[in-house]
Amino acid sequence: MNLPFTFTQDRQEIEQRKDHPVFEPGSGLPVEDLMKKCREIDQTRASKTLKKAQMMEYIMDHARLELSPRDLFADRIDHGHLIETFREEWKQIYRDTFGSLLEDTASGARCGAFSGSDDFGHTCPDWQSLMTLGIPGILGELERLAAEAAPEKQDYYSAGLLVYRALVRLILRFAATADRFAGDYPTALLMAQNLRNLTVHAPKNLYEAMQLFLLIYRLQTHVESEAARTFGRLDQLWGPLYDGDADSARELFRYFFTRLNDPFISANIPLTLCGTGADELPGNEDFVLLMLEVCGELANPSPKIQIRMGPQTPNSVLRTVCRLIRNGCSSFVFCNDDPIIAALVRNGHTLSDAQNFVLIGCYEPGSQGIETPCTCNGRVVLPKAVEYAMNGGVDLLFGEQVGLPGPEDFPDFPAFFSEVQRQIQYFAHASMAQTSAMERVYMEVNPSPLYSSTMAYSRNRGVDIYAGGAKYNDSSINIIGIATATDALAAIRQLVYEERRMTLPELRDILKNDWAGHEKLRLYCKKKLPKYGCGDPHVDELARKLMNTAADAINGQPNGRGGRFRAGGFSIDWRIGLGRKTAASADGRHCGEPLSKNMCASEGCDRNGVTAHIESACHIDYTRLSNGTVLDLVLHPSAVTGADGLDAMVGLVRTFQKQGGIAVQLNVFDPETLRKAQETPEKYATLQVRLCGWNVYFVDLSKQEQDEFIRQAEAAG
Amino acid sequence: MATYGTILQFKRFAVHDGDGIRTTLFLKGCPLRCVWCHNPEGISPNPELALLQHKCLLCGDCVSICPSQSHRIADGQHTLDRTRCVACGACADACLGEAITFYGRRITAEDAAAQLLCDRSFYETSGGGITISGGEPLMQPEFTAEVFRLVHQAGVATALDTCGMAPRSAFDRVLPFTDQILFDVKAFSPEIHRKFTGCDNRLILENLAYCNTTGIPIEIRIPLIPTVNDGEIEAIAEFLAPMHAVTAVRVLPYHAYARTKYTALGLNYHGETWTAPKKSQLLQATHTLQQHGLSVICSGITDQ
Repeated sequence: MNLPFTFTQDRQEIEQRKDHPVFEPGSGLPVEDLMKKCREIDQTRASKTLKKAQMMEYIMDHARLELSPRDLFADRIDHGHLIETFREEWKQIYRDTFGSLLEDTASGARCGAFSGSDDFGHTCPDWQSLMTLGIPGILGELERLAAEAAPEKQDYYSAGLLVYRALVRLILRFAATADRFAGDYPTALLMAQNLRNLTVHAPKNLYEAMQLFLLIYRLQTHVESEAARTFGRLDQLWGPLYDGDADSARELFRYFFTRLNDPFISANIPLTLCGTGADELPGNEDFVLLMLEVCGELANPSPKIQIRMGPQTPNSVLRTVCRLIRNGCSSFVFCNDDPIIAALVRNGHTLSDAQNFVLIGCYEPGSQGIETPCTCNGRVVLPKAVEYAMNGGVDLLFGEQVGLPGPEDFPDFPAFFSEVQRQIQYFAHASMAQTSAMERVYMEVNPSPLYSSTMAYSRNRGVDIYAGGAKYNDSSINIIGIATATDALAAIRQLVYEERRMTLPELRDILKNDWAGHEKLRLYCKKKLPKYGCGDPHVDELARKLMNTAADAINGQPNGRGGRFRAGGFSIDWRIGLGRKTAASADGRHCGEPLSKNMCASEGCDRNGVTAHIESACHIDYTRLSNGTVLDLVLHPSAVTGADGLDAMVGLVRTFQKQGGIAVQLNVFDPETLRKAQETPEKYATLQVRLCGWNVYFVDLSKQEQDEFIRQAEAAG
Repeated sequence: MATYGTILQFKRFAVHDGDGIRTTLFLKGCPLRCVWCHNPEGISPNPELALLQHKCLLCGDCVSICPSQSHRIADGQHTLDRTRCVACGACADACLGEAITFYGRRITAEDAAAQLLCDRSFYETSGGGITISGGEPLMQPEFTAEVFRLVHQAGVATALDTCGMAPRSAFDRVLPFTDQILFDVKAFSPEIHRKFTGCDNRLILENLAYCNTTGIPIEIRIPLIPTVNDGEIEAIAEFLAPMHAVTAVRVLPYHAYARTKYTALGLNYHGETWTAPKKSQLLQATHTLQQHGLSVICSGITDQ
């Protein structure tokens, strides 16, 4: 296809618009009016499903539209996040139905030991269904199914029809707005036609597919308010539409990817490339390389790209990604097919469903378009379990009885370790109990007419996804602070039970006082005692056992919406807030310092470098962690210069894959550059770092986070 | 009987010391006295301590543990009397501030090989292996040969990083277990070589020619120090051009970051006399070498 303008000409205008959307005057009603109508709908006696659909319908029909005549795409409407407002109100039912349980678990959350919650923020729309049926096809299916539906399913189908019909009208409103610019802007003419095409057939080319995905992403995420946290396996979904015209495809991707960087998109939008089922497709490698090339050219934080890998992954792909990361474009994660597929199968997926996984969010595997794994329901904080085991379940910092009561001393290390395990199991059960209780009333809080009726599995059964309408309706509890807890246990084992320097209660009192008067002991613990992350099997085995204990308490337990619980191992930026609530720990950590990150060694404790760090991380049994986790590595630029440096990066990733690691992300930078960026942020506005499972601009981080990156970079040097 | 060596340290994930991902073992002791040396801890063959004053916590643990009363802490100052120190390393083990480093641990070839093999799986996926560097590995030929032999037995590739200043017998002892040679050429003119390294280079160049006859692939390494050896590149290139075993020439730009190390070892530093080569000088050297048909690796030049 021939584009009337080039992206280079349009880029500035498009980027300006994304930061400061200008809604077309006269294209709809102000948010206050939408709110007024939604409030009226909320007063009716209709089911929550219908209420939500009617609200969405009204917003789609009447919200103001934003459209740049120099862009190729339109999807932004002035929705005011109204549904979220109502959902918060509807959450009152939690307090009404199980208020006492909330109080029981509140102390766990207050003291940072465990928590359970709802999660409407991690979904993967059924992109496959949208690709094959398109909007008119899904609408037709809904009409057919509604005609035959049992009475108890009428609300489901009525709601689905309301939103899908409103979606068609919204698209036509966008098209009519584009028409007004068509005389002056050839792009607007293209846009209008492209939009109208979506109302008559399934996407037939890349341009249509891109517009469709943007609309569904925007409506589901911002209007219905369930964050679509992946565009799916984009090579597999769109590859068949790629006609080999590389120039046009590149140009389209430039417009499309740029659109994924507006300020309303939190934590970047992911997409998954490669892996079993995609690698075998003819021409897949070329299509993947084309997308990577455009990402490298734009160097934006979004999309974040998840590379599924196995022994068959083309070297060209790994080399290209490593080169991009080395050049500062670090919005990538490598994830390993074998352990992820094994983990999903272990938790109940069929093999073929497991093979069709995407990462929903940062590193959380789920079968594309048939699964809603709610990846961030609960947390089990391991260092707190160690703390409570030393102190009879009483929080050292807050003085509350949060954990299980128990003895304050133990005859030997295995006895102490068992007590830690007992506390962990209690945390897990408390976290799951709260999560399940919430899930039982999900339909009064968050029915999802658009998300549900888009998913073939839910649509065919007439069951909302949040009532268990997906094929897999799992919920997830994350296990946090593995390195901190492991190092603390290794220290206790050596100090108390091997060297016998002190008793457990004596050590506990020192920790309670944050090492006051014991700085040398703290340094000894920090510098001289063995740590996770150094390839020391004696310590890594402790980490493995801890992880297994928590995961086994979680995996397979029934949840509150017809699925089961599954364990994950990421702690992302939660570890900072949770660290503030955690007393000093025996690994030499001060009270209030952050807990360890994801599968990483405690800060500064990867003493033997990156290969040993990988070795430790690969000691964990990832087939028990189907909610995923990741190892973050920082490499110094001097270590990876030249062709041999690139080969070495690929070698690291390949070894990680072969050793059974689950996911790894790389940052390449030197402390000097980061320090300069801290001092003169204006000169380093575009310097990106991979924060957790998403990318941010370094200069946007807090001083504390910046300092942490600088220390990591120093350690890598 | 076990073969012992005196070592500096192991460096895992060494990327520029041969093919692929490697672990490099640095040995202690070097026959040359290059005035710009970046690794002064490798010069003396004897064990010694490095003390980083700025990391010292002044806790006094080293004072109490030292069997020869070499450490003194007074008036907020930590002094080390190197004439008394027997370099036993006890203080380095005890130091909580990580201010004291012990260079010159003696270990057996078996221990060394076992540590070098830790990252085997990384060598396998990247075509890497292990490297012995220094100091000068050929000052400890029995140890180097034995480590190489053991590593070879495990099916892992070896690389020898040498300054070339060693008797032929040392090469003959080690080369049968060597898969790649990293050979330093610092100057072509014997006078210049003598002036800046304290040694004539005729033996070095003879040894290089000898290595070339063995057919083991050789990567030449030239530290480029403006005003010292930048005038030597043409002659070096001419000398290397006919050598069929030379696979690449790596140009290493001089840098003046070694001062801290000299101070820590109680040595005088002369490195400030020179400046790092400019990009144009690196380009020039690269170009000269390439004109003689040599394949050149120079960070910042050939990877752009």
